[in-house]
Amino acid sequence: MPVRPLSALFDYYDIHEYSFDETFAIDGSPRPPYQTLVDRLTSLTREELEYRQRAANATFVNQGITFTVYGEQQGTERPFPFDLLPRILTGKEWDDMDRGLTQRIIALNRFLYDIYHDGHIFKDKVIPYELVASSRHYRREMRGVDVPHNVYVSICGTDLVRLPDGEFAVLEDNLRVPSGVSYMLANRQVTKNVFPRLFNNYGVRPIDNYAQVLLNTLQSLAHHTDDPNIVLLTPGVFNSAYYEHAFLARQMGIQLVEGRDLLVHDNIVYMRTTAGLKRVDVIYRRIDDDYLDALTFRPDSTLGVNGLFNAYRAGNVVLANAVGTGVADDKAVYAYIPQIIKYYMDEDPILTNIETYILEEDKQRQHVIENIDKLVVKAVGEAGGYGMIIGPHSTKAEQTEFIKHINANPRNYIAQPTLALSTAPSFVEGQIEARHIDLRPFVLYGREANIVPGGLTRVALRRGSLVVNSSQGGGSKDTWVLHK
Amino acid sequence: MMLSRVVDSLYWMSRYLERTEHTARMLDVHLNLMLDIEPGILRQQRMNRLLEGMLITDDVPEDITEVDLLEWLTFDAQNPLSIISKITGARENARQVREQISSEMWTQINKLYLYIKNCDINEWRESPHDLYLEIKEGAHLFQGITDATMNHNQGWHFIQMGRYIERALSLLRLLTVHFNQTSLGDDAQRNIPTNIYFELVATLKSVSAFEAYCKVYNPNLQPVRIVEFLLFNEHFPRSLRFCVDQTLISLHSVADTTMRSKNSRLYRNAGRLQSKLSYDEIMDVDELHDYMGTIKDQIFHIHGTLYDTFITYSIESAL
Repeated sequence: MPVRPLSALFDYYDIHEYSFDETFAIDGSPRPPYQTLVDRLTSLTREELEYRQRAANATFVNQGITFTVYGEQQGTERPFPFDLLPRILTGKEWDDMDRGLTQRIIALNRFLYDIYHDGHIFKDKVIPYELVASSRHYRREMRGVDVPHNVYVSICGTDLVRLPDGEFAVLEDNLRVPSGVSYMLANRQVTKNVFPRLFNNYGVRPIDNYAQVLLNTLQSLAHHTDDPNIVLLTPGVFNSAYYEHAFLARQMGIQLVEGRDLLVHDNIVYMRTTAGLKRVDVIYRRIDDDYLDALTFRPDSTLGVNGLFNAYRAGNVVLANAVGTGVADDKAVYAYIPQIIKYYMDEDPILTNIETYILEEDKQRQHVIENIDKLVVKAVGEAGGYGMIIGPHSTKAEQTEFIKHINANPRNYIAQPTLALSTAPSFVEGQIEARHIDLRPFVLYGREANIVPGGLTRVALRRGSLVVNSSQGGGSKDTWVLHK
Repeated sequence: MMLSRVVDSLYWMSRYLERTEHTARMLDVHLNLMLDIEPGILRQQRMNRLLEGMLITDDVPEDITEVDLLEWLTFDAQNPLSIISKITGARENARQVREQISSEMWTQINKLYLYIKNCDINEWRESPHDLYLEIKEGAHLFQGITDATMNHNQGWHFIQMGRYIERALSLLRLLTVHFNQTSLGDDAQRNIPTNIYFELVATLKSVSAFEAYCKVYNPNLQPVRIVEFLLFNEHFPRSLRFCVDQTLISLHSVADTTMRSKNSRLYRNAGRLQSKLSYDEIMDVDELHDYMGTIKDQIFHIHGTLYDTFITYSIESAL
């Protein structure tokens, strides 16, 4: 059903009953928080919007805010596509989400502590030991290792979607090295410049203190010194998120280091500076577990630091996030999160989990194979929209191929119903059209949880597409959390 | 505080860029000079001098024509001594520390790289001068941008050291190729043959020194005065003494910020070289090549101890 009370810009804006539209109710009237934005948009001409879009794009290109796409030839640095129109969340919606995310991060940290120590949750038969231990990201080396304040995940990016009934549900947790926060901050800067008056009138909660909160979180993890030397460890200039690493290091005023800048001596980590070796106390690492330390993990890795894991195990350096957190964002473990929350918190989960089929169980696998054209099947250890099939958008041949993979290694896959992600207005090719979106808030957890009010709203810019990942043609927009 | 890796990249970025500029100027001067030389043995001698000055002795492809040789020295990415290889070296180092230099610096070095990379070789053959002019100006612009937009902190001082150490070494190479003790002669020498006069002009122009020399002495070029000027002049920015003075200034600044003792070998050696160049006169030079050879060794030694002190120091020494 099209929305037609407004300007010609909205001529192609469709809303459907099967997916929630953030801006318009099903009768085509703007939802209350969006009223002012819609009024403003109808007062603008296409040329005015295009002018603002160009100004915004120029800012991104000039500041070099780009990401790198793997598997392409050179010239792989692209600006991250930015959608002009902000997404709005009410204060109430946010506060509920904040409570849900806080509950979740605490439960996940307790879970990680438990599985790497006594494993009560296995003895109480809440989740099978085999399922956890067979995860690609389970690190046997972490058994019995104590981490400061028992905090494993200090930086988490949780992907949320809004279901057709208007409820938010968690699609996945990113507990290893989540990225995207620099885009959240850049989007806000640009939107403030493009819609200054509108922004001012709306009463939006600020997010600009993210780097400060992150720094405080990292500082709170250092247990052996009051004035810790904190560094950000990057794989280097060729990494897809290098821009973000450099940005965050600069914002926090800490050194951006590569593996070759660090060395371990007597289980102490040092960095090589012109003024001599300087001890490193906390490492915000943006390198995956596998590449951290060639002596412990992948021996062919040159990105990490030899001996780092022993220094870590000796308690002489803090890694954020801890090693082995990926087991908790394994997509098969995800299926058990409601029980995990209940088990550790003795509370019902605040945020909904998506129904998930475990393919190791014969009955569930049979069901999934029979209904693969209606479901989404994902590899459990992948991220970035790789290794998945969306049933309704795939061909018979692709489905047959994927079923082969499933039967060959059922533990490696899970299935979920195809979700109709909510839609929001995007300014695309001179028109305002509905596009599917999700939301990634960034949760920080040291001695307490801190979530800056906002997140990265990712947009599937291709019409009808449900894939929001930047590597697959997605863009992003600013996310406004209102005071009220 | 600065990471050793970062100053390493800044230092080499600067050295490669200085090399680029020097090579461009040498080729430009050479092209000019060739216009005045008749075909035959003199041309061949001139070519050989150019190659020796660039340290190229046996890598040259055989039976290469003059213009092909220039192309090889300018555009061949396989030739590590070509201009394009040197610019690429500078850019790669800059890229490693992109967040440490100003965005204006990055843009300029990238522009320079793209300029030579996308240069139409047929057009270049028509009028090769334009390219060398463009490169020289681009390198000067980069230095200006660096001074105007980057903090003059440790990193900047490592850029200075890279530039002046490279400059000093290039100058020594040039003088070694063009002069020896016998060719120096003395002031009494008059009536220099035309072909030698052109060579002397070319030597001065290879380090942008012709005008500066004429202001200090006069256009009556004397080999001994040229060498004196290029080795010992206090104010000319490409003289050996000037290069060493500047290196010392940066070295002291870095010592202050990193709280290093100025009593170490690095500082004593650098200081010793500086006083030598400040107090020596051209009459003190008995054998020019030996004299310059010793200085070259001292500069290599400064480079080595610079690395030992700030960049590649052993772990044991630093604990």
